[in-house]
Amino acid sequence: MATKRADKAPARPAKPAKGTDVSRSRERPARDAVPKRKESSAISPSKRRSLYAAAQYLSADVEREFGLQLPFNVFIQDPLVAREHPELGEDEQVWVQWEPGLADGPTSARFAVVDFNADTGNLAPAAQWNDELGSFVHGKTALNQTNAASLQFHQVNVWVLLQRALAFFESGNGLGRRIPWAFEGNRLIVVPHAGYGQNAYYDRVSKSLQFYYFGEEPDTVYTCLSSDIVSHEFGHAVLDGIRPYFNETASVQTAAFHEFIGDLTAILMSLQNGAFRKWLARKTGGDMSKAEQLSSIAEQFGRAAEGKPYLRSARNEESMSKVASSQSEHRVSQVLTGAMFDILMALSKHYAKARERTALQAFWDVAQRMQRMAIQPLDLLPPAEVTFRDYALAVVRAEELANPLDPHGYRKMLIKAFRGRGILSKRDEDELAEPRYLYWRPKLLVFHDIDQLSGSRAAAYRFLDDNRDELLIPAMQDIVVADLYDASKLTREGNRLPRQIVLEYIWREHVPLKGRQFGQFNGQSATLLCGGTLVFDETGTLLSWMRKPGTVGRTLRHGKHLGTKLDKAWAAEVQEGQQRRDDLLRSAAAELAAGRVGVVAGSEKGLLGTRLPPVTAESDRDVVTFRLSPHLSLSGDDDDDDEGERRWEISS
Amino acid sequence: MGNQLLIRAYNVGCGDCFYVRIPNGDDGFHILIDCGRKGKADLLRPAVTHLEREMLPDAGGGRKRLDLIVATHRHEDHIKGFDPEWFENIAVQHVWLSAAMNPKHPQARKVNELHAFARTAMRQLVESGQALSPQVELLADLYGVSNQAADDFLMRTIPERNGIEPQFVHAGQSSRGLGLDLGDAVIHVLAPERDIDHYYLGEEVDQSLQGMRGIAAGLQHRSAASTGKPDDLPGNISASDFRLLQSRMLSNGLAFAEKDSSIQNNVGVVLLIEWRKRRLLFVGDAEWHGEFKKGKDNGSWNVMWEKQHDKLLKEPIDFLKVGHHGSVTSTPVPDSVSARSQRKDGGPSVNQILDVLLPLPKAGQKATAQAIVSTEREAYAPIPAGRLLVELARRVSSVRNYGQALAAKPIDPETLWQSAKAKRDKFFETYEKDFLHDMQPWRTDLEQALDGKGFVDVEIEASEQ
Repeated sequence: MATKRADKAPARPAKPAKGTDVSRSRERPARDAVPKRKESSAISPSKRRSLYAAAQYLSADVEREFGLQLPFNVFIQDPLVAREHPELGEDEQVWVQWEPGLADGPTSARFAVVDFNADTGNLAPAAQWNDELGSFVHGKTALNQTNAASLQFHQVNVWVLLQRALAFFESGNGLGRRIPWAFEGNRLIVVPHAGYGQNAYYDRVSKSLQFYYFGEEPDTVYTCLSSDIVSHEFGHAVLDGIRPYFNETASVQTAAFHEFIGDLTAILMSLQNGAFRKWLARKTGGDMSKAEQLSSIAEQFGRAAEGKPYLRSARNEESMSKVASSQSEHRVSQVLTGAMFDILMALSKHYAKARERTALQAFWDVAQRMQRMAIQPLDLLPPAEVTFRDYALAVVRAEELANPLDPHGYRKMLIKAFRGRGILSKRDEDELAEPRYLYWRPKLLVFHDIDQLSGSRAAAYRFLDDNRDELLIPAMQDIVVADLYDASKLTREGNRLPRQIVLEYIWREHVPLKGRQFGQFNGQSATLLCGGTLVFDETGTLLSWMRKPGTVGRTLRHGKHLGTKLDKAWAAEVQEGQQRRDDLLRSAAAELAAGRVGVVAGSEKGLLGTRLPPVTAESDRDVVTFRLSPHLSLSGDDDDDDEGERRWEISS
Repeated sequence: MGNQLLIRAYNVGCGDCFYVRIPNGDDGFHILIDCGRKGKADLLRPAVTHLEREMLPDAGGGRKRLDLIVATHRHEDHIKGFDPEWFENIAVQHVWLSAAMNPKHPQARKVNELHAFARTAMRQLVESGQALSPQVELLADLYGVSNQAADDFLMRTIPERNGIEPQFVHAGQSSRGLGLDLGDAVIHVLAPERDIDHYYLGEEVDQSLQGMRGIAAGLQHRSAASTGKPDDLPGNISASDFRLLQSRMLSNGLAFAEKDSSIQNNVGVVLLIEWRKRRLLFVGDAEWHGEFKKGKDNGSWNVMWEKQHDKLLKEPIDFLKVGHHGSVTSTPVPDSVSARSQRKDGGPSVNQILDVLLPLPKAGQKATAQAIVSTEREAYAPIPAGRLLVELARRVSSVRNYGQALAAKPIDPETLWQSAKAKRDKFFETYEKDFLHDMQPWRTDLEQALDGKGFVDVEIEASEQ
């Protein structure tokens, strides 16, 4: 595949595309205006550095003129797709922020590409950064579409896709903040040619994104070149970074949420591509329900792998009731991906019609809107054990905050989409329809100034502890401030939303595992993760509060009765907590029965991939911790696997 | 002796060592099917010694005669005990090995290539002295040096000593065609099929191996032009991060070794002994993998059923040597228990096998077939599988309620699994307790606990029909 491309005619002139950072400017660069490289190098390194410090105040085209954004030509849509639809354009120009620390690898502030191949045991030479040219080179040759078959071009390609995806999440239309990784350290290691296999995965333990390749020369399929696969795996890394406790679970729905974020990232990143959107608009007249193209995640991969044209297509008919007994997170995730796609379709129809926009303009608007609508609610989510319902409620709440008067009835449209899939119940719908105020806050016993409590985790902890009773946190449970951060999100037309101050807290309850259904863990304890996410604005107004209750009830302090007003709230909390505990026991037993729990097998030189169970269980002093494993093969649906308990035996 | 065929399962832990004596009006025909163990060899030598001293007829010159050795496949739990020293005094007349063990077999070229690759990878791994997780250790044992020694013994030493050639057998052959006259007994070879690469390797595995090598070669070529060398360290991450990364990448060596170990099980010899209308099935470690499909890496049960469901496997059997020491991978789940696998192309589902070969007895009647599980719960925690044993016990007469039998001695069952691993992984509570008071087929480990004899006998009477 890659080899063939190198033999093709010289590349067409690159069409400028919308930049990575959409928050700043809605202007399009002039059609053929590609800033010449020598213009950007006309600025001295020290001036560039000082302009870089002010980059957030500059418009995109100014950044590009002064080399603070650099153009890269990369493969965007899957090479197979591009081959079948040449009008899509194989290479698209993507703008990536210049950083003072760009180095060989490529290496940047948040990524380090390490081209190690586990099969050959070799490190391929790294693409080298040439600051004068403003591009990566290999030896004396600049890396671009004319040497696209080279390993070094692959290194740059995957790096650009990732830089772009990170900028997407961090921008104001995304989360509006710098996002951390789940591991200690700030650079995600990227391995573009990890070895032979139909695999790609994010692994927290080794802080890496690993991309494998398969097939046979000259039709080798490199997963590192597939933007859908890269985006999907990157979605896992982002979610793990912003909600690291989601990884600690035996719940299929939480695992499915991870898959959903991967697929969602792939869909949204596809929508970012100008040439792709143009092509799509022409094909569909603005109606996304004809958009097979968009929802064919990892099309190339699927074709080469099992003759399936696409994986987990977002256009599906799944619902919560249909997947109720499924232990396959891939299948379950389709319910939520389907719901978001329903929303995408509804929005695109509305924009094309009601706003009298051209198809192309409609898509640009939809792309913007979906980014905000789908990504911004992530900050509202509880810190652990997320459910689809949590996400749906967060989406609705985020929309309410960003768009309180809702002139076009988006809120209703969202609720309808979630109801249609069974993600929100009738009761949820009725409660959401009840007239109420935009803001509500619990009556706190002890006032804390928002600036103080948001200043450090320790200060946040004092706020929580002083108000345990009102915040429905059990008195005798020690709590952890899981995260504390500020976000500056944008809404329509680049307007700023009030600053969000997010405080996540958790505590752990031990849940004894008693019974045969827990196999070798019978007699040990599992952990029920409890806690909540409080979101304030800069005035201390509470914007959102999502909780995961435990089973421990309200206790008296110093024997004093604190008044009955909170009794009802506490009782409801404990009831939900007990339900959660029962769900945990059920999930753990179901996962064990389905043979999905095991331990990791391997050596210092690598893992036994087929023995990597979907859920790992570690016992430490009789407390079992269930964790999601890096999921490996993208080609299979777990439901087809009838091996069950046999999986973790090795034949001899 | 005249009217009975004897099957003796020596207690060799998690392994097989089966002696079969077929009456032939003379001093009998004596067969040894496998001699191996997963783990230490200490139980094997006494078995071989006992066999030599007590069971085999004189061959003259102070030696004893063993008419036929069958080594089903090359895993240690089936061949570890083939030690030249222990067999010094035994004159072997015939040796049957799987066609897959013939390095010159043209239709086993690819399977043998995979095996060689796996062996190299695993040996390198072990020689590097790295820490291996327990499952990988178990896998590595299959490629160990002792296996190679047994291989040599079977393929070279025995033949040389006895002036014979090993016979590489495959499905479709029988004792008559292979030069053995057993009177009114016939030994049919049901597996492996002669075209080993076609049935058991699978297109996917083949393509993966070829693809991996091809692309690796191409990449080496591309890197060779520049400065890439092994032992290089990346410049942008720390050495310790790099080591951690390597340990968390997928090892194709391990993956292919695992695939190979499964394929070796499936290219093992499966025998059907017919004697006076009795049918005795020895399945080695044959596996079943869902349903049969062309181009897939099929399990041996799947292929046998595909080929013989209307021929040699059409009728019930009188004895089953339970596969792979009671693992769920080696006995297909019967339709009547859980219809999980169904053929999508309408062919005979592998789940029907057990209902045909060991049907449930009709109301008011008792099962007449027999079975033995040669096993020990040590190396593999879930083996033998309690649910499988209970299901088999419904279909055979050679059963015991071990809970009662042990209590009668009295022996506290909890004392039977006392190794560090057994305690840590709670063998008794997790895998034995629930089934102890149900009927189970005779299993060598618990029979040994009850009578200490060192073997379990099944005597087959000639059919009266």
